[in-house]
Amino acid sequence: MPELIFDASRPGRPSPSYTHSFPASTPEGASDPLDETIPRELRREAPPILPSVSELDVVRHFNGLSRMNMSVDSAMYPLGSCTMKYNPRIADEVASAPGFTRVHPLQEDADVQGCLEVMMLLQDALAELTGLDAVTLTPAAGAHGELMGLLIIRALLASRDESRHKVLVPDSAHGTNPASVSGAGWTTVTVPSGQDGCVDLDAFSSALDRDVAAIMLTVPNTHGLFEPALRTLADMAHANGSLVYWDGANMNALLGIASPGELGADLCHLNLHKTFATPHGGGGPGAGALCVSSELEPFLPVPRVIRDHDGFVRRLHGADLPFSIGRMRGFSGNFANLVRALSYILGLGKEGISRVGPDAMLSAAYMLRRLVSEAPAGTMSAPFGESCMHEFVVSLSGLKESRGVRALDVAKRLLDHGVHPPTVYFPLTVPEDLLLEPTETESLATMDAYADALLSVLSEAVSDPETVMSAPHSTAIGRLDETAAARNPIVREQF
Amino acid sequence: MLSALGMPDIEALISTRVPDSDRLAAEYALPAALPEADVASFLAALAERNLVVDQADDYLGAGCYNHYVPAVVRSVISDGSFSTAYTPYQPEVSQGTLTTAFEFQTMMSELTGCPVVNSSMYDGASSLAEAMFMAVRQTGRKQVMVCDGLHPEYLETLRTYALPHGISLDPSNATGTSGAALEPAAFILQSPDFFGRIHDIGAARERASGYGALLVVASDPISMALLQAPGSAGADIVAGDGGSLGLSRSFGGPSFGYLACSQALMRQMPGRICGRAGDASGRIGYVFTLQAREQHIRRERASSNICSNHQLAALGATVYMSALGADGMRDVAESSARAAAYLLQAIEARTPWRRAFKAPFFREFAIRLPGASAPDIARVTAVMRQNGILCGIPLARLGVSGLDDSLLVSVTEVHPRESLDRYVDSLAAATSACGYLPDGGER
Repeated sequence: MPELIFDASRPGRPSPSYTHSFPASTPEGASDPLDETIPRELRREAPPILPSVSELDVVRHFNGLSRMNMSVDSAMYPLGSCTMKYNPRIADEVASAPGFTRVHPLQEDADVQGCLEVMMLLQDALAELTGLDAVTLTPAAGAHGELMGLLIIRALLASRDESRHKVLVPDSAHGTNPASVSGAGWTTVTVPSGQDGCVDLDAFSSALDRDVAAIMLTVPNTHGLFEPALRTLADMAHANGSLVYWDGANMNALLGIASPGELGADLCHLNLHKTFATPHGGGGPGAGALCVSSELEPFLPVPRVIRDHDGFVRRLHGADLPFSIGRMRGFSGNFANLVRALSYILGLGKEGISRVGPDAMLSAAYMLRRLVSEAPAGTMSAPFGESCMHEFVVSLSGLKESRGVRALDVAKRLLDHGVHPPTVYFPLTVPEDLLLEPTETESLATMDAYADALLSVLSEAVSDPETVMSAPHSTAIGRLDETAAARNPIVREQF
Repeated sequence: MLSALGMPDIEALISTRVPDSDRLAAEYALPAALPEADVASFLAALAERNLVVDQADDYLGAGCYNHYVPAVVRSVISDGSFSTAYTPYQPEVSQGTLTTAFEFQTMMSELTGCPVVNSSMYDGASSLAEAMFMAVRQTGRKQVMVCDGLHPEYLETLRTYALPHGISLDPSNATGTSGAALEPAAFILQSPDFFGRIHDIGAARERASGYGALLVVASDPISMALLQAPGSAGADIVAGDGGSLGLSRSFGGPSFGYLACSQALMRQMPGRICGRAGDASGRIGYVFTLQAREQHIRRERASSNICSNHQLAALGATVYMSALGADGMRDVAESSARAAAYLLQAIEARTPWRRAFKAPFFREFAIRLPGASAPDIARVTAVMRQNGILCGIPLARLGVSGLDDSLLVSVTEVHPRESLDRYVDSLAAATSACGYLPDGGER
């Protein structure tokens, strides 16, 4: 069992003093100023129970826990649509400059031109990459940007005295899409994918009525496919007075290949922790960016960062932005991650960025080819053929039918090979699916080793299904009973 | 790889996926790649273009505080095993992240006095918006009362989130509109509030109960080491920003939001929640639990669209709380409170400035220069700034009405007495240098 830091507590263990204490009594012998300012009845009765440990205890404890984590730094981690690419170390270093870390968000613009310049440069670069006109760096995550985008659409429609209530979302969409639609007070209309894994145009057309505020597309979609009818879908939506929102989670496939703005997108959010290599952090903090067309620019949230004619960068607030949807968070954005994303773009430059999409595609196509051609007969199928962009979907339905071994079991057995499994059971459109995205930063050797591991698990699933179904065998802990955990949730330690 | 695919070059591969007509119209207008050394120097130069004063001369707060950041915090969160891991979708190889999430939830539960805490949100403002939604869902009511003193950015954020759902946000001293009885889902109280004032949570609890409403308290985790735990004092939901717990300010982000609630509200809680679980051999481990609340399962019926949270920032806070412990955190809180009290007493004794409010306060206070205008305040702060002191935030700049003559000043454990004395001397000199003639008075 991983020990909790509390298990190392020893009462009375002195905690290091990181700063001087402000003395309770003054040299003049006056009373404790605290007694005047904070009456006893407003104070805590009992202290909180927190660890009582030395700094060495802290370091050893978290060091031990870190060794129980798999990470991009330790192994290939090809989660589909997560873009687990290498995070260059320089990013942390540049973000750690005291000139960035010590700055307060409410200092005057003249005193934070360095920070505002970072944001302006990043905004400009992302506008260039998306082919859109204006950018906000306020979203804390992709989903935050989705809701923001939908609220912007709502505001645009309101400015036209229009009130629409529905958003079309493909069945392959990430769960945040319909959840964001609900956050905007609207109703999701799910549009089925055809056998080819792309939006069914007839179904789309029937669903597109005057009550549709927007369509949300992920490009390429979560099947890893570049929809051939993107311009058609956008034209149909626009003719209907609906806006076109692109979920940019899969932007890694498009860098150097295609541009949202050129293909009809009115808005596109980006996940800086995916495409732009800021660390995933075990579940954030990431950062989002929302890029919009000039028509939507007036509705962007507060604050906006713009450049004056003389080069001075300033923030605009509510009074300057009469049509803004307002604020969706405190301050200006997840700034430290904006520095990291900018350092990534500067380091790759035009040539490097333009190669990301093609290299990511090549890696995915190669791995799919290896799996399709070498998987034991009847175990794995590629429901959409071999036309993937940066990620692909394979189904293990055949394996489940023949041997009873599920995608989950294969994922768990992969852990014993020291690699992280692909995404399982997403998208929801394909049964027993794996969604695999190698990214452009894995070497041929690593990808071959991963393919070898996956293929050997498939073979093992045929010859020795029990071993696969009871995996993992070599990890610190086995499969945890999540059902029991949810039935009787224990969400903190009791003392 | 290309030969394995039977492709002569990468262009051929791309053309099998993407129609030529959909390809980029032109090359990107981006600069050429910079080697790492140049990236480093370019960004270092930008960092130099920001004004940073000595830590002990920085008195800016307003929701982003100048506490000391222990080196051990950055050391742990820089570990690639934590920072380059993903959300724990395979718990067997994510016990590092999951265990720290459980520890975080435990520590925040202790601080807030609420039994249930999730594994983090984006920031204080958006976390409070989610708390508002919890109360609306739980009660089925669409009115929310907002007590005086809520951070203006938090209030603006609540408005943006509330608008599509027809939730009304009304000031809490409202007695009702058009004779209709008030039926609020919740009272939202920030304590310590935007001006540093400490409120009586028990009294707010009684008031809310009188209306059958929930009590939502927005608070700061450092304050909770000294002041009454909001959950213990009767709050149903406690939300706020965790940046004070050992995270660098970094121009406002990323910090993290925290969200805590009573046992009864657990299933209304959005976001990721870590729980204890066992494996087949009886070993104990941790998993994200109650996932059926979340977007990846409930999609349009999820209580929130939140997916990625701010896990690494929560880890930083966990390291901070572990390294300091209850004693260390109380010391930080007491030192902050004493230093703030000392500074305010000295300001009133030796300058024309006066406290804007009489209430008990923690780590922050508003001072006013009676009869001064916003430009007067700006002039004084500019002189202080030239002397290397960021003396506070003029409330006129934050659009807080009726306080054009006031400055918001935050004092923490990083301000020793000598710095505070220097502040007062400088403030007195700057005020008279700006030609101000005192007129006394206290609100």
